[in-house]
Amino acid sequence: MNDKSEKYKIIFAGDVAAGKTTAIASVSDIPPVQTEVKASDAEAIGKTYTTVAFDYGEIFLPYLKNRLRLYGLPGQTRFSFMWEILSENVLGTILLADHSKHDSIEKTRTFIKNFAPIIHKSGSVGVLGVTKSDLVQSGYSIQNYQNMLAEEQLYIPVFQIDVREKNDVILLIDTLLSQIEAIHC
Amino acid sequence: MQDNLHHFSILSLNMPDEERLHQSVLACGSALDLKFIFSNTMQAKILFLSKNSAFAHLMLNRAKSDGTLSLVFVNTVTEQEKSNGSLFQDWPCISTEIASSELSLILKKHVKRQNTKSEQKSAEPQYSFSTLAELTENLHELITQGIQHLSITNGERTIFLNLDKNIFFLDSNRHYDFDQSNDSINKLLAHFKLGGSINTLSENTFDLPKKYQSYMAHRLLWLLAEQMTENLINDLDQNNTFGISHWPDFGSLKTEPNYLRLCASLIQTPLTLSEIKSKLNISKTKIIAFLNSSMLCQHLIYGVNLNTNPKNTIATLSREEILNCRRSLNIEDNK
Repeated sequence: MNDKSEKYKIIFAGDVAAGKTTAIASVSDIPPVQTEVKASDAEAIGKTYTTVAFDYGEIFLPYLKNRLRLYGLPGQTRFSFMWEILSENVLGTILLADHSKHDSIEKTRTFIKNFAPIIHKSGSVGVLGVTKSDLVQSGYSIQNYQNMLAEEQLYIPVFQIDVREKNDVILLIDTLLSQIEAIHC
Repeated sequence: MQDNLHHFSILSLNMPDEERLHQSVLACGSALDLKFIFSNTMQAKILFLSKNSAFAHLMLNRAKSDGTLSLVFVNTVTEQEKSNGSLFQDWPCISTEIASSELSLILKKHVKRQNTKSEQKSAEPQYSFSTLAELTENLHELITQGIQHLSITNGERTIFLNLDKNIFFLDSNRHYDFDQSNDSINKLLAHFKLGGSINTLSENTFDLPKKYQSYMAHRLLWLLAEQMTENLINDLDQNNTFGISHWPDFGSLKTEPNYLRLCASLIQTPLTLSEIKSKLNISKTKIIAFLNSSMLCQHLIYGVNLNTNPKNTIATLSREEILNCRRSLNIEDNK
């Protein structure tokens, strides 16, 4: 691994079951490397398998003769030691929030509170994708998430997306690129 | 034909002995100093309807759902139909032998109710438009005044807007093929390109029947304003700077990639029109469309000196690297 390939790196972060593994699988040009194991606390976290180290995928960048490296961070705080390691030298951070449960907003708030220092330290641009939401039925409000982020001094875009859709995940990546362009170009 | 306080259009469908009925109604009109006009228009507000008519259910469903019919007479309904909760039970029954005095009484009561409704209705401001551009301008003016509850109608179709919840409602029976895609929304908007009116509504109007489906209002507003070829901002001059207060939900809007670039730049630093063009190399048409949509959706800040706090990030890519990254990701770049 050389400096050149390290340059294009994005992380996906979010609470357990926010859709990080699925998002990476939707866009990766290689079969994603996953470190999912059977969860010992499946009932508590709401899914049978959970990521313990990280997910990894790549998108080929033929016009740059390079690869965009995609890292999915483990959602559980007990694996948070991985967060800082994987957040070094990233182009940007894609946060994901699962909006399908009644306590979704509170769970996301807790995660963001824990994760915000990592984003501030890395100084990377970011975007929040709200997943598994049905706009009207669930009472989804972009404002709720914007306020939650603002409490942590994070002023990043919030988009409703479907992580199973490649175009939606590409939209999040393009949002990071647009912000970098706006800041540096 | 429009009804006014003394003028009521009537449609009669398949009633037995219609001629005699018409004569009775006209006589009632003379007695009440009102003008009843029989017409073939579906816009009629009073309907004489045979329950055996092929149109009976259709017309009554329409009457119940959108109130376009304010009074329906149905010929004799049996007790069994009433107890079964027949669709006909909510409307006055009539036979061709109805006494003139009884008919007069019903019509008089109805006219009084209608006049009260009309007076109440006239208290609600109405803004007519004849093009989509005028619709956009009127909506912008109303939204800027803080009005959140509106309807847009052209007589045949109605959109109810509840902007404080960012939703609009459509009659799902009438718009059964509406799927909330941009194509669907643009088709819906096309129905209003020849004109209509905007009405301001009270909040309790939104207690709509279940068949009204709700969708994201900002998507409708965004696509409406995007179609305007002129500035929504009348006093636009070259020195105006534009900024964006917060990001629209582009995940729901499904718009084009250049809007992301525009938004990212204008949220970072307010720019004039010429600065936007030179910095981002995007066509003026696209920029105007973006500014119009952002304005109607209340994201745009302009004409003021904005204090910005540029963000510094560690990772840096050159413009060429970003461009090549986009090309590699097959992101369209229609300037």
